[in-house]
Amino acid sequence: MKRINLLLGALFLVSAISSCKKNIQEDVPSTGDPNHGILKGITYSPN
Amino acid sequence: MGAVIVEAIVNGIKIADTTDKDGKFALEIPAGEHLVKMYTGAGDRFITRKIFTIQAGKTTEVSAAQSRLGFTGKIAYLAGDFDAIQEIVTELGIPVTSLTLDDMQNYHILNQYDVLLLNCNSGYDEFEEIKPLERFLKDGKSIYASDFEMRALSKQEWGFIPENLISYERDGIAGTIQGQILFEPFKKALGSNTMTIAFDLPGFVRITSLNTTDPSVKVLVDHPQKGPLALNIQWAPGRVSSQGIAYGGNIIYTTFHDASLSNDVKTVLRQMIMQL
Repeated sequence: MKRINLLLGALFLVSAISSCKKNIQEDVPSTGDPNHGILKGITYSPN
Repeated sequence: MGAVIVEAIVNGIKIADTTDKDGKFALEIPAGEHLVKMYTGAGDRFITRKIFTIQAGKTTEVSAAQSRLGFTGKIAYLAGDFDAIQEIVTELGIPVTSLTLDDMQNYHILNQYDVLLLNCNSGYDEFEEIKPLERFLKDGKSIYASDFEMRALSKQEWGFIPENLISYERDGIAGTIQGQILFEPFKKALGSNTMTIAFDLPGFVRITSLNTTDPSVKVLVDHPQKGPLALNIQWAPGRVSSQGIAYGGNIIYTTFHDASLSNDVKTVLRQMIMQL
């Protein structure tokens, strides 16, 4: 049972990391240049 | 605020992103201090400019105060029987002035404004003298008109746009339809290629003929059977900008309006105002 839990935990971790990576890639198509930074935010209407 | 362009010019190269329907953006920029512009449309009216310092390998979060769009210009409206587009402008935090039918005949009054909003069935077409509207556009200003206000635009009745460019009937059938969005900022703002439009009354304007080969005409929302539902006309480009680009007035017209305000219609009308 412990082994199954460990396996499920590891699978969850791998899946979470790859999903996180995917989100980052989708949000900012990075050039991978170490001299670059990211500017991010949300825009609002004048009110 | 969706469909806002966020742009930086770095070493002569434009780096830009367009916000999604939730208003989110992200730019990858070389480290250093950069002027960033956030704007809609041509950037004439809704625009904010800020300088940000970007650090290599780090993410700089922009605060709400830094990314709130500024507005420059003056907006006026003519009340109508079937909609109240000025309420959406007010919700955006922009002051808007009410004009009377007499004001509309006085170019000295009209000339004080940059954007004019004509609500459906304003009664403006009861006046035979329509030259102030065309003059307003020739001066590089913007008009939004909905539904019956096509009468003030097309020569078919009282307006100034030739019938061979646009003609129409007032025989629209009530009902809910899916409009096909062709204009990218509307798609971005909604996060969809289609929008739900409820025509709550019959007899709305149906565009029967539109010369889409004319470069001044652009369909923004279309329907395979009902024809164009929203369009843009660049009118009388008799002026030249400092960048050497010819420009005139900007007309945005919608057959639908806010009488039956679905979330889709409200979002598109809000975005439409941001493009004026």
